[in-house]
Amino acid sequence: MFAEDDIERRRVEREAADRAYNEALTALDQAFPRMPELPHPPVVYDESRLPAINERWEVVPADPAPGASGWRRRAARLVWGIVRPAFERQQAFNSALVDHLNRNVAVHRANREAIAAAIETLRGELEKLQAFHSRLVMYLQTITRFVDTKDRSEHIARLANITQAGLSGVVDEFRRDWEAMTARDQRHVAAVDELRTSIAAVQQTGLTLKRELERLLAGRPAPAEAGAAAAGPAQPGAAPAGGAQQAKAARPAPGAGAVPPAADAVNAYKYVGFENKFRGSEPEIRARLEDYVGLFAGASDVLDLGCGRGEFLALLAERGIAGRGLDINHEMVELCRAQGLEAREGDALAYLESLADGALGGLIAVQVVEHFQPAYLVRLLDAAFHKLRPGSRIVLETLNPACWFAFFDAYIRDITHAWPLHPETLKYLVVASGFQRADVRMLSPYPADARLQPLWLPPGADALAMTTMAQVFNENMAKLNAVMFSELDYAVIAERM
Amino acid sequence: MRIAWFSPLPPDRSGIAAYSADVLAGLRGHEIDAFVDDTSGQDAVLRARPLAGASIRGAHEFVWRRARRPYDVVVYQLGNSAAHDYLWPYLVRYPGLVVLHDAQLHQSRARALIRQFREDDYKAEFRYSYPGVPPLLADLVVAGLGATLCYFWPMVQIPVESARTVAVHNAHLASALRGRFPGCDIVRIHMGVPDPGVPPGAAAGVRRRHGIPEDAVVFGSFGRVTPEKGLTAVVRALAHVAPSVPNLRLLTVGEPVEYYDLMAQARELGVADAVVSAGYVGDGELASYLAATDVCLNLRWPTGRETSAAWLRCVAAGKPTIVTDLAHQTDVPSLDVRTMAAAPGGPAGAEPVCLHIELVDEIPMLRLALQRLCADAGLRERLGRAARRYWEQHATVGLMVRDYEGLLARAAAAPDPPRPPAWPAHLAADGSARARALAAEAGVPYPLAAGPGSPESSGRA
Repeated sequence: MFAEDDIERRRVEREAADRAYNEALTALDQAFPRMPELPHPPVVYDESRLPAINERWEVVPADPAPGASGWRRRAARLVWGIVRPAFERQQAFNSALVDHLNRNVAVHRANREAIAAAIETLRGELEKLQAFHSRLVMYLQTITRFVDTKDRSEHIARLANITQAGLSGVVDEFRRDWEAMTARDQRHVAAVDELRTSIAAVQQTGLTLKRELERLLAGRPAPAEAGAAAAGPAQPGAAPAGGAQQAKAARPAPGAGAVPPAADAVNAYKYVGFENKFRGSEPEIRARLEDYVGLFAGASDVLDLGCGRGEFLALLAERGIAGRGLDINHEMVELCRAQGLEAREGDALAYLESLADGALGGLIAVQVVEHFQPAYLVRLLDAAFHKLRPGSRIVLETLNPACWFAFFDAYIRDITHAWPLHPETLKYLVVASGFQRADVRMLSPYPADARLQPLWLPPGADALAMTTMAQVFNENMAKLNAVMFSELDYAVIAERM
Repeated sequence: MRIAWFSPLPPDRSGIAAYSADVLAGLRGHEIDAFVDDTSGQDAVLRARPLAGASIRGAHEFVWRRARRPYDVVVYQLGNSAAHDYLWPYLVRYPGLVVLHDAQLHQSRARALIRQFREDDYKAEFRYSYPGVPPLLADLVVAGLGATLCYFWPMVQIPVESARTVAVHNAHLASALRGRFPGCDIVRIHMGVPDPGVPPGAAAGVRRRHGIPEDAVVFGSFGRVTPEKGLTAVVRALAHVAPSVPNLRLLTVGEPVEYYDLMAQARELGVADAVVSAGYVGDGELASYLAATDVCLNLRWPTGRETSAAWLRCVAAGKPTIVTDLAHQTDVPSLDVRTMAAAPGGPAGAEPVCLHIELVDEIPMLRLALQRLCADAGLRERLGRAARRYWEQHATVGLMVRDYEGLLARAAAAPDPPRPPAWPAHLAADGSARARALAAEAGVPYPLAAGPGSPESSGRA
């Protein structure tokens, strides 16, 4: 991968090289001189007078007085004898001159031809040189294109094809695998759904057998008989024989927890005050409960176990979801009724057992289950499984005792809390009671700024020892935070398949 | 209801053209203008085959027709091919019902923009759709190297955000789109095909014409003969099983393409005698070829999550089919050829209508499928009967038209979606960019007020 600035540098270098190349090419083009004006060959040697000269060079006649006779002839001979030497010298000069002229005709001719030929040769060579120059410039001009196209058409194109083919191959292979895995996954999900349905049927059968066996052993009425009383008031006296706590829970007791164990110790009205002081105001609780409403979208007959002041019931009503509340605290129930909400007073388990199987479309218990003894809770979950219709949800929110702060500051503050429930424990109990798709949702994270704070080294303090010390310290802080100041609450959410 | 309908139409050979014709015929009670691509002139309008239930017009007429008399709803039939490029400018400016036939639009959108030298617009759309993905990937596509990579980034966001309502034809795609675009209205509707109405005695005629013995078991592949039909794997599987099932024939019914020579592969594997190529067959003859086929091959790879009308036509003809096991088709009741048990995924207790072939186990599963279907006429008959019932319950044109009636009312009543503020500028341009440039060149002030888009933008979508 090339960095952007590297790519930019390459671009600038490339452009500079292009510029230099073009400038050099232009300089080369301009450097070669244009075709010069060549001289013409000398004019042709003038030989026009030579024949006359050749005819007239002899000035000494063989007979000085041709045709004369007598004294005339003698006089002529005498005169000739006097002037003859001069004429003979003239003739000798003429002869030499004519001979010279005759001899130089050929030389002149040859010279002219040689000069003309030399000029022609020079012209040809200069033209060749110019053609060479022109071709040289053309050649240099084609180098760029040649190099570019060579790279593009062969190397780059081949490289592009190879890259493309490689990419396509890898991508296609990956996508084939991915598609096949997705399809398989969907088929597995469908298979798991089928399996879940089968398991739910088996669980239903097992739990029904268990309940019938318990009834037989306890000599109690069959569910059909109890179902007849479903619409009637809760049966406070029908609490299970689940130990001392459950025996106490048969009587109304205060609290959002519906079945507080120490009912005699804390009067109902006092628990209303307790709620206001420690659990938060109604608007605060409503805001917290908002998140749960969506889990019951489309449901009906939702039971809010330990409905308290009715915050959740009011939210359900606003969304058009039919719901009702149950609380063991009379004052709480009255508060609900005063708002026009449907609420009953009674024991949780007794009420559930009084309902017909499948009578409920959802169940929520917020900050309730920690008020129950384990045996009571197990029975309550069993009953909830039978009373919920397939496809409905159960939501159990409680304090998170795995968080030090939640346990020591919140859990033990409330004297009606009976048993701290670790998130995994509650999830196990829910699943063991037949519910599926159980999930633990951690809630109310301890404020980050209130957690133990890490150690920040001052600038410059980068010595190895200091760094190591700070690292160890911070890791310890993180560990302590995780144990002491994690989420204060959690909810187990599950489905009845 | 007054409806504007943007879609390729017959004689265009695309599946969506045939689909539109079927739906429009069923929506005859409405006043429908069907707008076809007239980018290259009126020829396309004149060539379009007259339709029952709609007037055919060029897309350029839409704006003034709408201005003169508004439409209750505008329908866009959108797919991943160049035939749908002309829809985009309207789709982003006149929100309506977008019927998304492919969950993959990247290739066609990129091609369309790059062809118009609008690489920057393409890159802007890519960046907008995938802000977390390195934008250099768009450069890779511009450089012509990203064809298969496109599948990872389907680029459907802009059409989905533009729409009042989006309709798709399978539950998987609907669910995926709802997850990706939680604020958008995504609806799943049935895809339907007409009853092919197999003519009596047609099968024998086709077999005689192509020299296929009467007792041969014919596996037919319909549509253009391309590598996407998985025929290479079929021929390889055929080469394995041919000695044990000499009466098996592979019949390809569709136009061959230059870049794929199936017969050469068959010759190389020594099974050329078992492969029959019928070439292109007109619509009128398709039913006869379907009748002459015992089992239909509907293998497809790669996929754009489209619901195959070709497969539904085979199902409607009561033919057992072999399909690729694709994530969006796992809800079709199918038989696992390895166990011969109904595969999980389909409705509980539903009879299998096809055999599925996993992409990672293609040839072994095809071998088994060919062998079992050849050997077991009863199995073919059971699958065929179930297929026909499946068509009657899930894939008739009547069902599709009924869904459309509800869908059109829903889209007509829905408000226009808000235009996302981060949309690439060219999608919101007012179209005056060129006029402004010309005016500026001439030194004349542009006479119109600036539109909502940026003056720099091209005005094209």
